[in-house]
Amino acid sequence: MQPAVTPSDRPRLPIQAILRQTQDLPVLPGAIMRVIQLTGNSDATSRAVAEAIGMDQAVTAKVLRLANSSFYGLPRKVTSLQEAVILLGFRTVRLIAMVAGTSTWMSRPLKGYDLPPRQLMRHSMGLALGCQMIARIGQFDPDEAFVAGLLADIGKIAIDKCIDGKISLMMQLGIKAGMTFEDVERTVLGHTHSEIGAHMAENWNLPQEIVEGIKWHHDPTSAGEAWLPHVIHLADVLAMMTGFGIGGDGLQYKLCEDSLEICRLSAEDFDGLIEQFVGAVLHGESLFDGM
Amino acid sequence: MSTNQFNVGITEVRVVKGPTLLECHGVGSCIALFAYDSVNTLSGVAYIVLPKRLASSTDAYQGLFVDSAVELLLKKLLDAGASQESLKWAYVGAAEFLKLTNGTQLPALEIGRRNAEAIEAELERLGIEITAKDIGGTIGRDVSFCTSDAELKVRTVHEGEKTLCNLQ
Repeated sequence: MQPAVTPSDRPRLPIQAILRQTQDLPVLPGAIMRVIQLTGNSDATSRAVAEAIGMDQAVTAKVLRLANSSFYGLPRKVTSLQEAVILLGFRTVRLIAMVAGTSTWMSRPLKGYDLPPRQLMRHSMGLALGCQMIARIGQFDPDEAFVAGLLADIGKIAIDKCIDGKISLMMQLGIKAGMTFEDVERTVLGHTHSEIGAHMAENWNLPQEIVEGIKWHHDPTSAGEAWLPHVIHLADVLAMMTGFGIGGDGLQYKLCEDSLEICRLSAEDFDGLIEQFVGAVLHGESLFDGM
Repeated sequence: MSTNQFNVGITEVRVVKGPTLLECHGVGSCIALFAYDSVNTLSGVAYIVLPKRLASSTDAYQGLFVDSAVELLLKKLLDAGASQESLKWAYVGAAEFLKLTNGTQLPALEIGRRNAEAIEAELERLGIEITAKDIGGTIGRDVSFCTSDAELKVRTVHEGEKTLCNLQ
């Protein structure tokens, strides 16, 4: 019999205790952490990026596979990182490296969230591409948005085991009480997947903007002046509406109306935004299907 | 004869002859529209995203919009040999987010409700009657239709799997 879940259950497990329950917790490869650090360095060179990726053979192989996917439509097959950087550019290869470095654990099934294998990867790629698209509209940094979108839901990987077998009751509670799924997570676990994801990103020494973006993507107005939580929030809304890697938590979230204005959009732009998003993710399928 | 199995993705409009299992996973605000002609063993599905084409829309994804996808599905079914009198129809989806963070609702953002209204109007325009529908709420739905029993099944995380209707 499944355990009952009620608003009176408030275990408040420390985040470290929750993370300890997940064996094989995701680790960002050192090569990727170096690539992200280079992202924030205006003096970084193509060669430095290629060398950083080259530190990890598995990531290198995936980067080359992604670079050769039909998504990029290169005229000839790329066989070296240097060549990939020359043909695709320094910025694109950085983003490909992020996808390559996260795909293994993103592709796992999340039983607790009712996500079959590869669905978190689909959702995260949808978020990354959606963030990139919205950031361009809002005249923000599309590369930083892509990385933050890709990692926005990493907290679900850590929480998954803790909610295994409970999601049905958690959704019943959310629907009955009109609570967002984040409020339900807080009620059941003491923390949300966004808070735990931000904690993981902080442990990986990711830039503070990305940590904050992950932490506040379901409640972007609480992040002060930061633009990134709003961009991730809207991309997440698009991915959930279109069912792109949607989990058992469904659409049990609130839409933040302020995010539209901050991203230089209006409610009337929304249909066009969805159409553009669907085009981007369907085009992007060839990118992450190769993973 | 073996059963063909298809995982139908967003914007897809698919018609299949013979024993078939059609599945749409994680339908959110979209509409999964199913049709079945049991006499001719023809099944069809459209996984629709938005109520209507925009002035700026291209022809790249006709299956994206209610005002082009339903007609396209009907045409594909009739072209494949279905009879309009034998076709049975049902649709699923049209979920919404909770209210906005300020507690209100902006009609333009209610994609699920607008999709449901658009499909009702379009089906009426085409003279199509609906056997059953399962719409609304804040949930994602997995939907499947199998010609072996002609049952349309809907699975949600909080209610499990249920048979919505029989399209025989």
